[in-house]
Amino acid sequence: MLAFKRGDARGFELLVNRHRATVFNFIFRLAGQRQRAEDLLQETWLRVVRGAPQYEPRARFTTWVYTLARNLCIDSARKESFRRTESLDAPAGREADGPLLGESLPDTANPGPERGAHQAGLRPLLEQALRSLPEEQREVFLLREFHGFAFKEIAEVTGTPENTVKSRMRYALEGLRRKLDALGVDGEPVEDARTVNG
Amino acid sequence: MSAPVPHDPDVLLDYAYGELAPANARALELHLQGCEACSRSLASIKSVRQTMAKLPSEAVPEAGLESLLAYAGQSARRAQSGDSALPRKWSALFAPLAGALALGLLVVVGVEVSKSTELKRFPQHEQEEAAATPERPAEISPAPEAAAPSPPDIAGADRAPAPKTSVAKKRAAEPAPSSEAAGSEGGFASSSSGAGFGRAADSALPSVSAGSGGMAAPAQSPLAARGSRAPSAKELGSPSVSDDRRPEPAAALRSRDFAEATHKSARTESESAAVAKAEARREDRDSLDIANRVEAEGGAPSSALPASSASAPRDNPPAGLGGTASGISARRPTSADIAPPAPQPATAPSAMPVPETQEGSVSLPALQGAARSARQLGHRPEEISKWKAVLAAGARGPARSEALAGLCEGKAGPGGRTEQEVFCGALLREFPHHPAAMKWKAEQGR
Repeated sequence: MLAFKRGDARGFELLVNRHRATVFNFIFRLAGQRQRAEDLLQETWLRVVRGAPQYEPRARFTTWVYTLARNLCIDSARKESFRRTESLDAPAGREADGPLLGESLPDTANPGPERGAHQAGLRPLLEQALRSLPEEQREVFLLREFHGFAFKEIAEVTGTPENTVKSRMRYALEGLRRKLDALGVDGEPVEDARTVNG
Repeated sequence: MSAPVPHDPDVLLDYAYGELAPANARALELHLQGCEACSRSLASIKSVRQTMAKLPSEAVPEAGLESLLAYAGQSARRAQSGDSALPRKWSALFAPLAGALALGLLVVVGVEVSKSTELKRFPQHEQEEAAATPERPAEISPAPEAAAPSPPDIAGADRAPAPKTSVAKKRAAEPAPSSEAAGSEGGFASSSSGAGFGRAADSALPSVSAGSGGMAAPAQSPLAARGSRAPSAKELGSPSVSDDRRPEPAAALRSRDFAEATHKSARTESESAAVAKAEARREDRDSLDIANRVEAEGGAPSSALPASSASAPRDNPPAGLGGTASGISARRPTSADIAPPAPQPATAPSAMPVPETQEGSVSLPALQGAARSARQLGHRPEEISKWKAVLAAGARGPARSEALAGLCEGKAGPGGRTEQEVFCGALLREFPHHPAAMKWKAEQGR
């Protein structure tokens, strides 16, 4: 980043190549919509470019980038909250007679054997479980679990005390456990776990 | 970190995510061997983590990457050349300067425009305020019969006492430029005279006549207003009815002084508003003015606008009119109309030619319809009288232009060519593009 600040465009390219995918995943999991996530990703990096002259290496670059991304997600969510929100009773598609959004979700009441945790339908269940978390718990969980941020760094990104971050993390884990149980997803250990242990 | 507190969930969390110091981690492991609750909590955390770890990553979109890199390259080049900060400094310096310059220019232009506009309007302002005020009491309640004004002629009007205005007061201290001026400023609109428009103005709008100061609208008579219209008309480059009739009266001089005085004084917004208001009422006053002039200059009295004379029967005031018989009862009442009319002396001298009409209580559209009918029937005298009544009723806009055109066009009525020319002149002045006005102008040219 310092190289880019000095006028080296390749420095920025390196940063983008290194962090773009992870930042996008963070934004996507936080925002919940792909199109919105793409827009927010672009805006995040544009802000990086614009903020380069004022950049000071007081913290990790990733802390800054994720802070930018997180703030943009929050702003976008606030704007979105003013718009029409989709109801579970609303038609899922554009057709008025299409299936309801609630019907298109997995059957959580009767998870049959074909809907086991290790089957192809696992991903939407995990995404659903993740979406069930409140935003402040979800962002902490994402940063800790998928992006390797220490609790102290998460506290910097979110602007909250570290104890609060840990508290939110505990609530997030507990909430996910309950949701996964409800969805019929077990917690068999996997060899290729993607989570980051810090 | 100090020794881990048993059953501390945060410690378990730190341990689960590898953030616990090695020594503390070993101590916790010892604790876990004997604490089933903590072991279960740790197992739950690990289970959730392992399950969520199965969530695959989302493919990152490639869209926008090129443009982003191009934008970054451009920014990097600017940063390299070091010119990124310079324009900001200059723009930060010049933006306020340019804004201030533009604002100053705007103010200068605005002041100039205001000056030119008010130079044209202030002489009218004086007359409009004067002309507008006497119209009001006529609708409220009829004045005592004894107060019925007798219609004076123009000369008498010129000798009438001057209105009590701030300008008049100012001018009163100065020597009159001529006897006519002195006579005019003697005031025909004095509140004590109790006759004509001046009295009506005082009675209807005492606050206007008494409290006007500076640029406030003075309660002037229509005659003074007519005199003061001369410079305005000259400035506007349009023929004035007054100019071709008689020498410039003292009222005109006074109004010029008034214009100068007002020009010197600070123009406030309220003054501008007063000017605008007066402008809106100009047409009403003009109708009365012209009608009065025609009557006074020998126009034959008509049924529509019977000029009240000194011998007019006072026990027969026009229906719907006040004691001043201004013939303007068709006007809409204003707030000033609420003011009670002042008592008028029975021996009030006639100060102004006041058109009286039997149609005073008739609506404007009815008068127009009657005039049109008379035209269709070829009854020119009746048509003229109706059009006069329309004017006297305060017609504005198209109605006024139609009335003026009706009086201008066709065969001269009982008033003769002179009367017709007056109306034609007014039509040309007020509605220069009216076909009748243009026709008359062409005829005059020949």
